[in-house]
Amino acid sequence: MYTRCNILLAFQQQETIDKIKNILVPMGYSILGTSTSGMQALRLAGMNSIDIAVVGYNLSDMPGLTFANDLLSRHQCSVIMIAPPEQINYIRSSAGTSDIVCLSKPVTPQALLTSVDLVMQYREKLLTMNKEVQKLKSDLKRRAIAEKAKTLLMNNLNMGEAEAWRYIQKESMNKGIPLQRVAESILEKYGKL
Amino acid sequence: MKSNFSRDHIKQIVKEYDVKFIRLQFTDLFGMSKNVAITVDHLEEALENKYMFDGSSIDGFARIEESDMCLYPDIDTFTVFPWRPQNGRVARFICDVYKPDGTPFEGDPRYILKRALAQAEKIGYTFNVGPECEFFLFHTDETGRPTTLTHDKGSYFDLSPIDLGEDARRDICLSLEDMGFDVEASHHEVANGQHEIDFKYDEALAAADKLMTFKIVVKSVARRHGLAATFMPKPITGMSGSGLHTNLSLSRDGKNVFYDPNDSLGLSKEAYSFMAGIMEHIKAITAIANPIVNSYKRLVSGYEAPVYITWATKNRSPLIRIPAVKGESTRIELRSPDPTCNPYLTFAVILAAGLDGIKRGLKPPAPVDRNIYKLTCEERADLSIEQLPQSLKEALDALEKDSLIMETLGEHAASRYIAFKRQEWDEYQSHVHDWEIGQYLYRY
Repeated sequence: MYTRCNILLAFQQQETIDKIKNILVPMGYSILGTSTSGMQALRLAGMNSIDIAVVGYNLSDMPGLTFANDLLSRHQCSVIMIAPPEQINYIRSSAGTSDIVCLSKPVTPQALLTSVDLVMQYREKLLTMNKEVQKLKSDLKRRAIAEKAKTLLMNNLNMGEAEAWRYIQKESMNKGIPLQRVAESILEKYGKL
Repeated sequence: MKSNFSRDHIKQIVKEYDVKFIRLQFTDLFGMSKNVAITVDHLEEALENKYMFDGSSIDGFARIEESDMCLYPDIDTFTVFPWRPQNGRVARFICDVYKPDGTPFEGDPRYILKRALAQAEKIGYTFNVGPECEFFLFHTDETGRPTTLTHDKGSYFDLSPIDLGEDARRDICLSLEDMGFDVEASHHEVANGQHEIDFKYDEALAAADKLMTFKIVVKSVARRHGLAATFMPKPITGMSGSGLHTNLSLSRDGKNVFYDPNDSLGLSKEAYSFMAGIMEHIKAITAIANPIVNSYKRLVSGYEAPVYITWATKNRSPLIRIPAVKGESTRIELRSPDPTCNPYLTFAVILAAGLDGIKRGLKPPAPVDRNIYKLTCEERADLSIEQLPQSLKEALDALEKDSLIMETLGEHAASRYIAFKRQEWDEYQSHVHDWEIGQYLYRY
């Protein structure tokens, strides 16, 4: 269970919101906000950090799918959409690769809780993977800068490849600054490639 | 993502961006953006100017017996909307409206502006316009209808340090840049929930096209933030209204004609005459530049909106202000228009009035660098300061009397515009407003 998961509820009927709330709150989930209007729910999402939005097929002022797409275009959250069974295929095809999980009405408390749990597990995995991707991107960037600096040294100071690399390492060690900073200062001194 | 395109280039972009729908956009007489959406399969037909629609269904357009109209896409206006809908993306063209016989439709605002620009071109001038558009971002109610509450006042959001409006405005600017706009400035305005976005000046036709696009972008992006954008000139009593300050200049062979380094204000003879022309015709122009009943609730003292027909360099209450820039940026700023105006018609009548001033060698009165709001009636009379129309009715009366502005609009557009606007005024006049109920119901 992910008690730190922030949930937004958006359904056309207040009664439905209350029912969903009664399923999630006793299990320790935090309901960040509720709304019958998609516009209001978008404002709520703009002011808060949302993990999951549980959304109905229709809202008072827009289709739930429009709300979900607008929400996902601006926020890194997931959507669980509860919809009539005859609309599930339409939602799936319209959602494409969007982060929307569909649940067919009627939804049992157990099905909803399991879905919320699974979505949160998936989000945690995604978050970890995103962090790894960011780290890899940063490593690649650092490597590219070091390569450029090395080439500049080879061109400008007539060094061999190994010698240029050793020079950058030594500068880093002697001055006690990261290798990337040394490479950047070489780029600044000798110009970009 | 806007540029001059060839047909092949357009087809290539449509494929590359997975465009599914194309909007053929045009503007009605009253400045409302209209569009017909076609699927990409019909792109070829649209580019062949084969798309027809029923003009009699559009306010102020055509009579039922001459209702068939054709849309001719201006391929330079092709752009892909930066937001991604559920299925595929949407692109658009701004179109000219033509009659089935292949002649331009005289009620098409874009044609009316083109006709006025052709007059300027005959004497070697290019008309440049830089609009500064203000708007409000409001909350909606439970049913999605706009309210006049802003995030500054909304009880729930008072607790949060994040400004929803700022966030939306930033997003609007980014979307505009994606569509090829050069956004020069954007900032929060005087009133709660009020914002302004300025984009770089352009030739008048392109500037009018951009203004129409701008309104669509502002409304669409605001909606995605759960906010309702409105260009209504005065949505809240006692707070500043939304204007469309319009920077104007003429150029010839790429040189700014309004600049004269030998003048103390850096203005040329043409600039002074252009300004004098606008001042002479401004009462009629007001019917076009301030087209709705509510426009006149903005043109009142105390909120930096112009009320009197004056010009100045420093203070910000006159009709025309001369910004303190010189050289190629020399321009005059007309401060009366509001964002509900039809930009094509507004720029056309401003240009016609300015050119009339140049042709007749008119000279403006002396500038009034005092706060005009604080002048007494006697002082204003001594300085021969006239007032802008105070109501839509007054402005329409002035429009009917001004043959130059009427001719610029053309008989077709002018007669329909005036008839429609008179009806709007009559409806307003005969309606019992909340203010009257509040003031009189308990008293009498």
